[in-house]
Amino acid sequence: MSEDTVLSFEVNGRQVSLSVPPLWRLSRVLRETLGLVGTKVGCEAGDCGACTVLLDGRQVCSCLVAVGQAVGRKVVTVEGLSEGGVPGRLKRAFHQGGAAQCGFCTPGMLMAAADLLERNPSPDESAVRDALGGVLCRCTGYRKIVEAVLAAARPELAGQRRPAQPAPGSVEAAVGARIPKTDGIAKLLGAERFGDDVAPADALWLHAVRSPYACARFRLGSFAELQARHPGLVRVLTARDIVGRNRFGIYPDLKDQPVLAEGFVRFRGEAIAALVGERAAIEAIDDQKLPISWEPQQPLIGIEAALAPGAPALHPERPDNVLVRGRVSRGDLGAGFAGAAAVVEGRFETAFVEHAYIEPEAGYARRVRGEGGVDRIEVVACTQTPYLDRDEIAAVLGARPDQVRIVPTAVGGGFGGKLDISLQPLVATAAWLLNRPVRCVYTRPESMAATTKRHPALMTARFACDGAGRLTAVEFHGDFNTGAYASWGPTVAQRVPIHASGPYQVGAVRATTRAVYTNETPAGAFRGFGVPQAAVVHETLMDELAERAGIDPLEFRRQNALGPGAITASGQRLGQSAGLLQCLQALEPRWRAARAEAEQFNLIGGVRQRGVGIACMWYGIGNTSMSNPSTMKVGLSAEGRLTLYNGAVDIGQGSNTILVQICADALGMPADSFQCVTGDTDLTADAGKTSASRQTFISGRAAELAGRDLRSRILKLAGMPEQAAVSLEGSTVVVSYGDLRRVIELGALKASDGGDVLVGMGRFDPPTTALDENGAGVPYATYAFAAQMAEVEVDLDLGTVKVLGMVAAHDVGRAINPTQVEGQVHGGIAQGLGMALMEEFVPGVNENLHDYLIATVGDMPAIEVMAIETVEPQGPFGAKGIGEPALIPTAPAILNAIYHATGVRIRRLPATPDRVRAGLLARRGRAALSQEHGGAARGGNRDG
Amino acid sequence: MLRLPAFEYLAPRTLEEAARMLAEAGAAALPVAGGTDLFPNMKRRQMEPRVLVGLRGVAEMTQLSGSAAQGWRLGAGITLARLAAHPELRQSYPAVALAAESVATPTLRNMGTVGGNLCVDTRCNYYNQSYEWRRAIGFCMKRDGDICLVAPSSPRCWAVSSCDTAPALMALGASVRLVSAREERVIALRELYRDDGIDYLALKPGEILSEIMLPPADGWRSTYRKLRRRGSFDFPILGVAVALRIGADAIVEQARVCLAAAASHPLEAVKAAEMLAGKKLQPDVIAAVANEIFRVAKPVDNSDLTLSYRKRMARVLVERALRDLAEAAASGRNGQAPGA
Repeated sequence: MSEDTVLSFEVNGRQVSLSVPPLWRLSRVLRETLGLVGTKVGCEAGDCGACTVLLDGRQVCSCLVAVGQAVGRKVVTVEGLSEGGVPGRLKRAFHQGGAAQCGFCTPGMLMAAADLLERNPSPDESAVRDALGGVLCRCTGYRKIVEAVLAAARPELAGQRRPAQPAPGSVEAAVGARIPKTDGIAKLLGAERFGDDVAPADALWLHAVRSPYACARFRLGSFAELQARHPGLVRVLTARDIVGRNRFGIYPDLKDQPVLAEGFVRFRGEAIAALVGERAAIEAIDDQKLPISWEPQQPLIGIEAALAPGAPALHPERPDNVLVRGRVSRGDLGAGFAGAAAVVEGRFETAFVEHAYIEPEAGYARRVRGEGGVDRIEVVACTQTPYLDRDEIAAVLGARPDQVRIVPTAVGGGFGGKLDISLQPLVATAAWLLNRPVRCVYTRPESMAATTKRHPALMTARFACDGAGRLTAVEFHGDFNTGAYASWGPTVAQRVPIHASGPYQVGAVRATTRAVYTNETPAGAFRGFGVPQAAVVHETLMDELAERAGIDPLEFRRQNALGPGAITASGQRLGQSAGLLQCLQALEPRWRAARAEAEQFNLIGGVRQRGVGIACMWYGIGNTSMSNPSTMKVGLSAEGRLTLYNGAVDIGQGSNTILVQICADALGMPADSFQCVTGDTDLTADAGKTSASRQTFISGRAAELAGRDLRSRILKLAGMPEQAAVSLEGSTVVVSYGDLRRVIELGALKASDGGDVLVGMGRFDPPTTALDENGAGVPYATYAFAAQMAEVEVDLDLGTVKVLGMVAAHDVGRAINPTQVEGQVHGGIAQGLGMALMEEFVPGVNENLHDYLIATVGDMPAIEVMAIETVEPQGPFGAKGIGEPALIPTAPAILNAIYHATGVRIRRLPATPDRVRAGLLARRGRAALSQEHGGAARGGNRDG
Repeated sequence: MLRLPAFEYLAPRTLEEAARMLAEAGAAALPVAGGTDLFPNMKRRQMEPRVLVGLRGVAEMTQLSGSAAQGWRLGAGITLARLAAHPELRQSYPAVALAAESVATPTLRNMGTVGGNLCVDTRCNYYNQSYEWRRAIGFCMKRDGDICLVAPSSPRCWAVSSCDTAPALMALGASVRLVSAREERVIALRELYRDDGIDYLALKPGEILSEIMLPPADGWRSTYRKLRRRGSFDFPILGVAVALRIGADAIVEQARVCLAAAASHPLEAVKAAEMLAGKKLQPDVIAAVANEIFRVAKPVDNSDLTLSYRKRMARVLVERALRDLAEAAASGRNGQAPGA
């Protein structure tokens, strides 16, 4: 086949004839030639299934199909799924059931499900799991996807399954309702635009050249010859092209990571140059043939190597490779241990964990002429933190922040990994210098090699209790591998000591941490900032202590639980919203039944043994001991258009919906009357980062205040009392109170702000204080609490662990949207299960989604979610947060269940089959040994 | 951008044409069927064929015919999904269906073929990596280098055979038809493989695996057990296929035991099979066979989990496969019901 061949095939019922190279991937032809960008690309290797389309009715990975292979065949993409029949039922079931979170895997899931239902109209759950086994999702834990497919297959049950929702137009009914996502429809139609879906057609492509060495000096030769050979190569960016500050970082005083390395790299995957040009030219250049000479050096791999005496310093200003230390100390530790009836201790180790969002980093930048002839740069990309991006890019460009506009695209999963800037400064610099739009999309291996991870931790701890089973002392030390650059290392080092003693009242606590530089991938923010690692320690040791004290593990936690008015390790007195006791109470019947069932099951003595474990957590909502405000604006236009200007980025967790629900009830107008403007730094105020589980609590509170502000302005205009009802009727606002009725003609009001005639503003900054040298103070305004229970089955011969079920009780203050709360818990459990059993990123070894294992649909258990509501007075309608709390107790609950099943304590994560098996063998060895000794002793007695 | 290297793609319509194209293109050419393994490997520059001869359009390679009484002829181009779902094969040759449905994911089984799976490249932690990574650590002998990074003093490559269907088909006595521009020959499937991570296929230059022949079911019961980390996607950590012909008196008349991911080729445990012949599937017999399997399974430290773990698991999987078949025979079934 020559390149001139016209290829004909059917796409979404329409015959197409294209002159494209037959070797192009079908995914590329669909997205770029036909503009069908609803088909997403996550890995280009068949490892994620995001690009799944139907080829002659069967699900296939379009990234592995050459378009030449589609000739004469029928292709259906998400855009071609009809509104009727099976596809229509699927889309409605996904929407109603909350089956899409970020929406990036949704097209692939819909295609796989459509394939199944066309061939098997009434599948059971196991058939659904089998059919979806080729598509990865990182947000939902798959539960609501499986439920939606089952619901679509049984429309007669849909009425029973449909969750409670307010009737259209009803007021003060949004909070607490299972409202489908306000931005959900686009995700089901393939109409949502993610980072790689938005670049203009004339954009140049940027490819970052990265270090294959963890530690090396390098010299760049001349690129002149390369440019002569490749006229489409427009520019090669190196460190010298960074006109502003060639450093970035999260903390104002810790800008230590270069955009492009300056002659020296500190981790494998660090960018040293960027090729910018026409796509064909960029693709034709082999990185191996670039004029770069490398001088590799011995890298510092692992915390122990970096802390060894005489280890070279990664950064001269940190000669001991310790980036930062954290400390919390309260009470008399010596006395706490001296008077203890039981003391347990242990050393724990966790691995690098990759976020594995299915959308790789992507976006573009362009230079535009602003007002007054001042040039600006616009960066349109996936991000969790538009305002920080703006300031960082301004610094890198040597420009003012107001010269930078960040327009966040939809985000295909973040989990903390898109809080740090990635490609933004590169495309911004290129677009700024070349005055042409420049785009970039990371490959999967590049995304995994170059972006942040969860910190690996080495932790030791001692826990003590008195004769009554009350905790008397906790001592904890954790070293966290922060990799080559600071990123969020200080947050982890600071947050962990505050949480390290768990959600318990303890007489004396000393918790210390270090964040340690190594020549490994930078570790940053990942759902929980180090607390999930620390929770493995406190929950394992709580279990051991309960056993030593002879008290049931749940009961032991209950009698030590923090509750309203209790004093934390930081000396903070908790407010009224501290519902750990209610969480434990909700779990208790399930716990007793499951423990008894497991023990009964094990009496058979088969090769499979079951166990049930429990774990608790607490988590401070918002940034630690610092101001982290959010500002929300709600406006009414002359035409009667109601708009929430929302600077909080929704990364799939659902803030676009939650904030509307809150604002609607505060204002007294129905949620379905709102439009949203989100994220854009030109159009919205700073809502802070989508991190630290803070958007519902902080931005939610701001949205509530904005709604109330607009309401009071309307009432004031109408001269009506607080209890009056407001409603939007065309371009008028009708205010009524009893028989009184006033009509405000919006067209008659002066447009004050961006076309809006009435504007409500809300700002909330949770009250916190700095911590003193002992870590005392008020680090957070409020805390979430939770208890989770895991039921597992361990195959004693294979060492494999199957999680059979999870029950999760979470104190969320108030469940603004129960469907979304459940979705967060399901997704958190999927990631916690991965952390417990399979996830272990090794730089350079498993930088792809085949060898780096995340849970598939087949690995997920049944999950029961119990939302515990202990109203938080500072939160919007009493709400706190759920994003990170969802994950934190999962891993220790599973580890404790493994112990219950087998008697084996796993202290190095993940609990892979070989590690579990080694634990079983060691335990058998010990048992055999003690039997031998016992036998010898008895023999001795006989002799005597 | 994960970029495929430049290559020429030929799309023959007949087997004869495909063989001719392959012969003309010479050593720089490779046949490709579903491409689910080859294309990602090419993107990582593990192989850079200058010519690919696509077999998708070769209709005669997608034929499937036969019966349990006469045996089956399976076109090498039939997809793994089709193979796994075939009701008669599931009934009479359960090991084949179990192996086929355990490969990768439903999405990939709709593309990947049985012939492609039989020829799937051997795998190794030091080989299945990007070019840059392999260069940084020093190339291995399987690609671009001259030593084995797993066993540096070894003269050979230890990359591991990671094919699920080969052990199942071998245990059932399958043979394969190989077609080139010059000749056509039929060999036993076991003869297709060599115990070498690089030259793992005994194909002559220009040969295409066109068809798989299964002998009559003839009382053979079979099963396949696969150990993997997740519910889908993963290559085998270990696989065990067992086929037995059991007489009316519950005595094993004939046996074959084959392992996946235990060596550079699908490993047929001949002595284990001999130990089964003439015996009933009693616990002591099963234990003795499992010990023999433990002896012959020789994984090296080049894939998922520790090698001592993988070696031990060979014993466990064989015990379980034999117990499956003992129970099946006792209840008159053929092997573990696929999908159960």
